Parts: sequence; C-alpha cells; structure tokens
Amino acid sequence: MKTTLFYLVWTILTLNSCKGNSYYSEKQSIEIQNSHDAFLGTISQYDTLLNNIQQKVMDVFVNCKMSKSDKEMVDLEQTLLSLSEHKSNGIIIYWYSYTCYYHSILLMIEKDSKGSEKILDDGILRLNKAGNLNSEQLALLALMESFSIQYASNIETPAISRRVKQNAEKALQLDSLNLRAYYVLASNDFYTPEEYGGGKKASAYLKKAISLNDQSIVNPYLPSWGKSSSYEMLIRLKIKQKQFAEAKKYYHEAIDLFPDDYMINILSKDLINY
Amino acid sequence: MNTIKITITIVFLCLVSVVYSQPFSIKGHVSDKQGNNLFAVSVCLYGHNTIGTGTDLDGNFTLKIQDPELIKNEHLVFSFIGFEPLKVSLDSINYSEPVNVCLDENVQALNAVVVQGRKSISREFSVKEMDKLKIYLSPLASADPLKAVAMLPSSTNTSETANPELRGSSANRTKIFLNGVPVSNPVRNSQINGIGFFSLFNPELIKTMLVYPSNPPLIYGNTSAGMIDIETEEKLENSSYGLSVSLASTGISVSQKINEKSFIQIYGNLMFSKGFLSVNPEINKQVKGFTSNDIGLNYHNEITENLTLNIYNYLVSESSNVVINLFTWSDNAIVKTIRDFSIMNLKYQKSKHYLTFNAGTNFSRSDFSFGNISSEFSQQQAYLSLNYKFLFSNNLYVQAGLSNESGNFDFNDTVPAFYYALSPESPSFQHDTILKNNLPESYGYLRWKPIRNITWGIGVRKKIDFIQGKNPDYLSIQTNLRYNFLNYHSLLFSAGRYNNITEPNSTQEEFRMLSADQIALEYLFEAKKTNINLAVYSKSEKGDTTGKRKINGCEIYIEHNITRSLKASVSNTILNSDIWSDDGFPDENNVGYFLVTTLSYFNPRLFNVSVAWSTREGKFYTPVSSSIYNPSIDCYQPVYGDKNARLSNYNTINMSINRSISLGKQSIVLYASIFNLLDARNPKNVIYNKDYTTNTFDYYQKRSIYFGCMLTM
Repeated sequence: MKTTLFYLVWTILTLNSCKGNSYYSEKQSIEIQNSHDAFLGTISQYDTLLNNIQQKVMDVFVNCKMSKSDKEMVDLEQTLLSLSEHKSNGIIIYWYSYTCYYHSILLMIEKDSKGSEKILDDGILRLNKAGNLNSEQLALLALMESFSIQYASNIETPAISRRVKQNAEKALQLDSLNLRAYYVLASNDFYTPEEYGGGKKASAYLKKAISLNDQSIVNPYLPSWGKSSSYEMLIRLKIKQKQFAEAKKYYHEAIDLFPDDYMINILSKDLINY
Repeated sequence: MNTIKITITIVFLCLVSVVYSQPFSIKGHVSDKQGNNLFAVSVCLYGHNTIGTGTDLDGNFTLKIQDPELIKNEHLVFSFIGFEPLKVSLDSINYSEPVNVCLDENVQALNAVVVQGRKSISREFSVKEMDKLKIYLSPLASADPLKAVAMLPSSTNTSETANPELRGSSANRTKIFLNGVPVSNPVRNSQINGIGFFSLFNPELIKTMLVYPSNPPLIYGNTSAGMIDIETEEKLENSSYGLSVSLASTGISVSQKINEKSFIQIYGNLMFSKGFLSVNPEINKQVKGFTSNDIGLNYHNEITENLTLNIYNYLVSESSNVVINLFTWSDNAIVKTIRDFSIMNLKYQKSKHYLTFNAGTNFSRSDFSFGNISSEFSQQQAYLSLNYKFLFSNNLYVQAGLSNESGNFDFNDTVPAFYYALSPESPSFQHDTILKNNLPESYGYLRWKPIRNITWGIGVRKKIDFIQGKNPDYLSIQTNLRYNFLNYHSLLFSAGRYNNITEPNSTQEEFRMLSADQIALEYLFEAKKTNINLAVYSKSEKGDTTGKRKINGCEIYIEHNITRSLKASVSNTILNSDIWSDDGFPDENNVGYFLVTTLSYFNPRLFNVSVAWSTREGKFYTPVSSSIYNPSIDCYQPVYGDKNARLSNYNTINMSINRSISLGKQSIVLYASIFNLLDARNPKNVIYNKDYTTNTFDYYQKRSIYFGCMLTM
C-alpha cells in the first residue's frame, strides 16, 4: 500500500512538475534522440522541442563536438524538417537553418569542408525558399551567407558579400531594433579587408548591437543570439585598434552579463597588461 | 528503504503545497485576421517582460503568474514579428474561459510588402537579372551593361556593336528602358571597339538590369522582340570618387551622398582617338578619328516616406570619321551628333498601392556626309507614363497604366538620284521630310502565384483609339508561366503577340508598324557552381521592309566554376531565320550556329583574366552577278544574283586582363584588352570594283589593343 501510494504521488508530482516548468524542464535531457520518431506524437511534444530551441541547438552542438559525431545534429535537423513539412511555419524553418549553421561549423571544425558547405547551402536554400522573410530570418540568412564566403569561388565572393549587406540592411528596415542584424553587418565589415572598404563601420554597428535587448519580449521560441558575440567582437576590434581602455570597459560589461562565455573570457589574456 | 520513501513523499507533498498555493493561469488562443493560428507569439504581462510565454503551434498559450498581486489593473501584451502589438486589460478577462486574440499585420509586414512592391511585376519572367557587380564581372564586357547582354546566349548580334539584337530579331525591334522610359539609339561610337563604355549607360548608376530576350513584358510597350529593363540606384552606401585614364579617354565620376535620403551621381568622359590609333595602326587605315564627350547626372531624393523623385540627365557630343564602302564607292563617312536625354520618375507608395509617373525627353541633332549624301537630322521625342500597381496579397499583383510616346523627326537630306551612284560627282537631289507621331497606349498586367512553385502572368496592351493618329489599331497580348522545382530548376513558358512602331532614321524615313508572334520555352538550372540555360523558341515577324520573317532557334548555355579561381562557360545558339516571300530565302543573320566559349581566371590578389572565343557561320548575302552601264552618269548599276551566298566563317578570340592594387582606402585598377587576338580576317561585306567584275572584302575589326587605369577613392 505504501509502495503504491509512493508511486502514485511520485507520478502526479512528476507530471505536475513537467507542466508547471515547461520553460526548461527538459534542459537536462534534450529529448531529441528519438525525436524523429516522436514526430508522430502530439503537438505538445513539438512545443517541448521548440521551447528554448536556441539553447538546445547549442547543447547539441557541444555534445557533438565532445563526442566527435554529428548524429545528434542530424537527428535534430530531421525532426525540425519533418515538423516543418507537417506544420508549415517560418519559425521552424528558421530553427532548421540555424541548426544547419551550427552543423556546418561543426563539420568545418572537423575539417569536412564538403559536408560543411553542403549543409550550409541546404539551410540557406530552405530559408530563401520560405519567401517573404521577416527581420529575424533575414538576419540569419545574412549570417549564413557571410559564413558561406569561405566556400565560394573568387568570382562569387563580391556578390555574396553584397548580398550579406543587403539582407542585413533589409532586416533592419523591417525591425530597426534587431541586434542580430547589427551584429551581422558588423561582422561583415569586421572581416572585410580595409582595402576593400571594410573596417569602417564595425564599431558603430557593434555599439548599437550591445545597446539593444536580445529580445524585445522574452519568448522561448524566438532567437536571442548575438549580444555576447557582439561584445566579443567589439572587444577584439578595440584590441586590434589598440584602444585598450575601451576594450577593458566593454570586457567588464560583457563579463558581468555573460560570466561563463568562453569566447569573452579568453580575451582577458590580451588585456591583462593594460 | 521505507524511511527513504516516506522522506521523499513528505518533500514532494511540501512541494505540491507550494505549487498549488501559487499558480495563476491565463489560457488563450492567438490568430491572425484570416483565422490562421499564430505560433510563437510573445504573451507577457505589461511592464514585466520576464513574465511571459509564447503560443504553441496551434496558437494556444498558458501564462502562469506566480504573484496574483501583479495583475491588478494590468494588461497582457501580445506581440509578434510582423504584427501590431496588442494590449488587453486583465480586468476585462474572464479567467475561467480562454482569451481569444486576433492580431493585425503591422508596418514591418507592410514594409515587406512595399519592398516586394518596388520590384518589377514581371521580374520572375526575365531570363537574366544582373546588378552592377555582375556587369563588372561579366567576362569581356568591359563594364558595359549592353556588352554584358551581348555575351548572353540569346544575343545573335552579327555586327560587333553593343546594340542588342536578340534571338534573331533586328535591333529596331528591341527596346531598352531606363527607369521605365524608352531610350532609343543606346550605343555611341559602336563601330570603334575596345574603347571605354560603348553604350550610353554607366554601370555605377545601375541597380538592376532585367533581360527579356523574347516575349517582352507588356507593362512596357513598343517592342516586338526583346527588352532590357534597367533601373538606377535607389540608395547610395558611401560617397565615392573615381578618375580614369586610358588610351582613348579620360573620365571622372562622383557619387555623393547629400544626406540619408538623397544623393547625386555625376560622371563625364572625354574621348579622343590619337593614342588609340597610333597604338593600333591597322585600325587607323579605316578609322580616321573620333571624339566623344559626355556628361551624365543622376539625382535621387526620398522626398517623404512615401514619395521619391529620381532625375537622370545625359548629354553627349560625338563625332567620327571612318572609311566605309557602299556599292562601288569608298569614302570617309563623317558623323557629328549632339544629344540630350532626360528622365524623371516620381514614385508614390502607400501600403499596398504603388503609383509611378515617368517622363522622358530626347533631343538630338546629327549631320552625316558620305560621297554625294549629306543629311541633317534632328529629332525631339517625349514619353509619359502613369502606372498603378496594387498588391492584393503576396501572391497576387495587378498593374495597369497609360503611356504616350510622341516624336518629331526632321530630315534635310541630299540623296543620290541613283541609289548605286554615290561619288560626290554623281547626281543628287534635295529631299526634306518632317515626320510626326503620337503613340498612346493602355495596358494591364496580372501576376498570380496560385501555388508556391508556380507564377503566372498575363498582360494586355492596346493602342488607345480615341486619340487620332496615323498608326493602325493593334492589340498586344501575352502570357507567362514559371514553374520552379527541385530547388534549383525552373521552367519558363512565354507566348504572345507584340507590336511596335519603328523610329524613322536616315536609311528608313518612315514609321513602320512591326508585329511578332512569339513562343518560347526555357529551362534554367541555377546551382551554386553550375548554371545551365536551355531555350527553344519560334517567332513570326511581320512589317519589315524585307518581308515576313520566320525565326526558329534553340540555345544552350553551361557555366561552371572549375575551381575557386577558374570559371568556364560555353554557349551555342542554333538559329534558323528565313524571309518568307514568293522566292523565300535565308535572312542575313541565318548563321546556323553562334558558339561562344569563355575561360576566366579570377584571383583578386594577383590578376583577373578572361579569354573568349566566338565563332559562327558567315552571314548570308546577295552577290552582284552582273551590271548595266549607265552612260549618263558613268556608273554601273548592279544586277543581283542568287540570294544564298554566304561569307566565310567568323572567328575571333578576345582577351582582357586587369589587376586591382590597394592603396589604403584608395584603389587602382589597371586593365588591358586585346580584341581579335589572332588578327583573324573575318569578312563583313563584299566590296566591288567600279564595274562589279572583281570583288574583295571589308573585314570586321582587326586586332586592337587597349589599356588604361582607374583610380577609386
């Protein structure tokens, strides 16, 4: 009797706990290993998958990096793709493409250039095909196109660079408070050599980006990336320009906001003597 | 074991009590005006952005509020990309029932519509879209927009000029529109190849160029072959300045931002022949001299959020002295021209409505002399159009408009009394002609995307009857269908009947009504590293002085990036063009095949080099078989023979090379080009002696070298 009561209470509490904390109850266990099969499940399962998806993609990326296998990433892409076929929605395509972007980075790190290019192209293609792109989709598209330059031929490079700029500017036309669009513009300027007109606007774009909220209203289904990366790039830019006082100022701001960010933390060694 | 179970149970019971003492839930559903469920809509408590949730895939949400005190006199805020945020008072909510909310599209969504609306309604039916970068990178186009068109497989130009001749049709059937206004005679000094910009258009001013090799969209009129639609820049990223010096010209260009909403672009060139002709003495035998001085201005201003103004003005003065052969007479043909054209565009947009007013004027005067021919020709033309576009939805656009093209053409000519007797001593007479015309038209065009991968367009254009004019009544109709499939593949079908009225010129002092029935099927494969275009078409053209013409053709074009730096392309056009009359014969440009192969090496750190080999069968011509002596003028009249004679095959290899050198914020581009690298003798026309008993050939351009540099700041 005691045992029965124990399991009864346990079950109720577990279920209740899941409902009441849907925001990130699944953080410790990303239920995507079987998610492709789980596609045949209920809407709530998809919601669970899409809830805080950005962090999940990052976690999958880290897992794959550690395990040196991209299986989890492939599974997540398959699940999102199946879901998008079932439920046509620009946000699902957004997250599919976002996953492709990280998958591409993963394969690049693993020196599989062809695989990296292929998955990146697929993400760009599907995002483009979504049509009538909103500000967030355009910012992601610009980011991915910018990343694709490394695989492009010399003849195509200027055209892609121009497209990156156009898409990021269009994203800002549609939403002037989109920090990710500013980040992509800054990144494009940052990596463009001075002789080709780069390096003039990155600082202004990055300062604008860090002044904006990563989301105007907290929404676990929508993107919030870009702020820590903007800080990191701004600090690197200031170090490159030998403006160490400013670099330190932004470093302290950044470390307060993102104390665990590896990329920001490693910049401390460049500032230690100033 | 029991102790552990009891402890865990107690802990969880405590938690249950905590959980159930706090929660306060608001449930609801969010949709758009069409009733579609909205996913990922942000739902939060006003002023508390961290107390929020998002809607699920079915548009449902559950917002849990831990502290009931927070909701007193408060609002829920619903917001989502592309929709107007909505505030709902919590006092008005019955918590026992779901809250149903409907969101309206907002300015962002409308902005997207506006951005979409600015594009040409027929854009998806163009076969090629080029921006300034593509023009610059087009191998051997020398940064000339129309030379870039001449490199396309649909170009069947046999004259080595930049004047577009597309899919076997003559140049007077194809129109070029700049910001919605037709530009006639778009080429200057075209016979002198290898010199700067051959067309009137500076690529720096160009935002997009859409090429329709056949089936021109009926939003524009007066064309019965192909059409090129050029739009100038609407936004200037940075101010920039350029200086150029070459073997035959010096130029300056200024692109200046006035403020965030307006800019001005000015360019000018002084062209001279001495340097070019001294480096190319072979050319000097035929080309005795040329000059061309021009200045262009483009001004753009966003007057208000909805209203933009663009003004373009171009002034050119040019002259040339070239030895030409006509019948049995060889002499210097001297041409002097001064020309000004202006284009003004007013664009007004408000949500899904898009109104444009275009106006253009063209004034020119030219003097021509050769043998006993002299001609003074002046023309004044005006063009007006009013266009209204309505975007019913992202999938359905409608555009309608009115246009009028008017012109005065004044010829004061001394012409030969006998067409074959052209020496200065031969008899001639004065022939003055004044021609006027008015061409009012109305049109409608609908573009619909019934399903995601299919776009359908239909257009109608008609001469307006209620305005008196000399032109016969006509109706142009067309339909286009585009099907995109398997990511990179497209099929494009177009068919229609088209009409145009030719402009009078020195060789044809009359308005001629031309018409054409056209049908074309194209296949496009546009992947990252490989592009393939296939096309088959059939045309039936009426109205030319030569008679009815039947044109059938097919094109194949393959372009592939072999490595990061190496790109190759091959194109071939099979063209069959016949004149239909009692004694039907092949048209001059029935050259069987046009084969063009290019190879480009592109390395910004070293240099860029492109080589193109063009070959085709020779043009058809009608040889003179005998002649009749006319003692009154001491000249022989030719008697023409069989119309099936063909000149020998055409072969040429052209090469261009350039290198960019960075000097901090400035850059210098050094460039050189060699036209007809192997100095092939390609016959262009037959030249006869005085009594037509022997003949030689006039050749296309022989080998010529050109080089220069350009400084950009």
